[in-house]
Amino acid sequence: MSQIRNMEQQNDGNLSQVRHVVLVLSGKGGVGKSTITTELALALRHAGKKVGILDVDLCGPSIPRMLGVGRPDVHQCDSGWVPVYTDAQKSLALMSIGFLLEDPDEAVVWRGPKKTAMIAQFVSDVAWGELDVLLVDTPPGTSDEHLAVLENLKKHRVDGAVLVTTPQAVSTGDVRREITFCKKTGVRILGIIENMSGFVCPHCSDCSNIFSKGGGEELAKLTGSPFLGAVPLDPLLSTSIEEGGDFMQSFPDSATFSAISSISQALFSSLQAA
Amino acid sequence: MAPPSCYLLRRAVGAPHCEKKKKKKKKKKKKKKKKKKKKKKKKKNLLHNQITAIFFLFYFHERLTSCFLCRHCPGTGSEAAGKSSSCEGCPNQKICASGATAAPDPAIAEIGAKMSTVKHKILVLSGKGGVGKSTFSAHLAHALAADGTKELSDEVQLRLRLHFEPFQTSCGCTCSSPRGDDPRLPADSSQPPVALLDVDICGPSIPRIMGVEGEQVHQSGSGWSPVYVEDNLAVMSIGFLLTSPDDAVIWRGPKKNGMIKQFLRDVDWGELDYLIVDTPPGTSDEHLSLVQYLSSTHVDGAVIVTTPQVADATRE
Repeated sequence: MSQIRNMEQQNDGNLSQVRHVVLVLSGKGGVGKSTITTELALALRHAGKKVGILDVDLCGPSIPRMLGVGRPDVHQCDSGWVPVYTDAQKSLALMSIGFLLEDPDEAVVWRGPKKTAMIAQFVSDVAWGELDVLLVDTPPGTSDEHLAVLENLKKHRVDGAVLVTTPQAVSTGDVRREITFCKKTGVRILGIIENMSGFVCPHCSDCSNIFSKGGGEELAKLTGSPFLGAVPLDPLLSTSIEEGGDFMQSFPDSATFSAISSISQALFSSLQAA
Repeated sequence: MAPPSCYLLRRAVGAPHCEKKKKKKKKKKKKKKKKKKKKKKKKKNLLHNQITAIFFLFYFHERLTSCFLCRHCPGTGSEAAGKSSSCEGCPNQKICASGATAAPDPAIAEIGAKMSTVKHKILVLSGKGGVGKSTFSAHLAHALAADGTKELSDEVQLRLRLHFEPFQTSCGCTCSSPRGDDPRLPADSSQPPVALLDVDICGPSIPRIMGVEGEQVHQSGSGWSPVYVEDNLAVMSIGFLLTSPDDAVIWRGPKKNGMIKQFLRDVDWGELDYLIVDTPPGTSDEHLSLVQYLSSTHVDGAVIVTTPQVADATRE
């Protein structure tokens, strides 16, 4: 019995100092969930907040590469697994299955129950410590991973979800299903972000709407959800993500920086208002 | 004079020492007592363990079953399924031990028989989402369906002859007209029959890309009828089974597997030259089920789609 109580306390303890938990969802793949999660985390860190990222995309973990943390070993402490910190000040913590794979090309070919168990471990056994915001990056769809995250975060409050879409109808069509998922599972929709919204040519500064424009805003109006903002398609951001650099620090004068900063401020203020 | 003690008499006679015997007897008694105590302790511990085990089971039922299922599970198809020590406490232990899980799924043979009329099967994969799998699958299907270089086989020629009824016109010429509208017989039989199967259960994009969103699937005696984009191009997706574009498919792995099984077994594909299968991103239930159910048929191979900056293609 004492062992059960210790385990419960440990589970509550690992998340007890996390003030806000935000899911980053999208019904569609390739819209930029991981990119937006990474940039939001960096923006919040630059605003002086302590942030954590939990990457539950077990089949395609992208966050370690985007933050340029390499493949360090995951250590254990009394409270559980120690997350990987991207800096010496420990202001940005990260946990991903990418750290547990021996080979970067190793494929995680797991069925649902195994993924559910892994996510349960990530949620309960990682010693996050004191965090202002924990961002949970999810894979596309509405399946085992999403249900597992919500089930395991039942004890701890989930503040809401941010939905990422691209402007075109194929993407918004899938994101509408994600909105239905949020309503059915009782997750509050904090807002919709439209990614890849227009391409600004670095030479002539002319904006081309490669993937059309306004789809995210229309979706927000249609579903009654708040629209957090639009992030343009920026080659500098793509390069920064590929190289694992800190875009928010390297390009403070770009339009993308101001878009992401305003989105992160709007997000944090809505979290505090709730 | 005091009578000689037992010890002296025994010593004189050469018999073993009395006290030694007593000590031995005492030792034996002590050993017996210890054994009894150990047995009692064991019983207490057993009871204690059973009680704590019951508490664990009731309190952490899901966690333990998931732990048993996943962390140390030998696999439902292995010889040790249901018999190893790690299977104890698993709710599926009896089923695995009976050997039911190791037996091949009868649907695999049924799907094999169904797929015997399909000449080529191509999977379209990518570890990453949003690279254009559905777009590529749709355009590949259109390109293959529009290929007019196919030579008519003897069977198709016979079917054409049987399909058209000869009749005498007023001028005395013998012409022919089709008996009815057989959707499985292409209007232009030089074009190969192609089908596109969308197994992205959570995010079906194919109906929208192919321009047949809102169409419905009909059921007949021969199975589900796919939706025809052209006379020789059929499409099947879960998108046709949803009542509203806002409907979310919130299913766990086993239910998705069942749906894929139905798509492969129950859809009336007819004779096909190509079956293109569009998959969701990743390497999960849908991909494993697809490979498992198509194991009794010949899959020509997979096309992997990527964009220049993607690293997940190597995992695929």
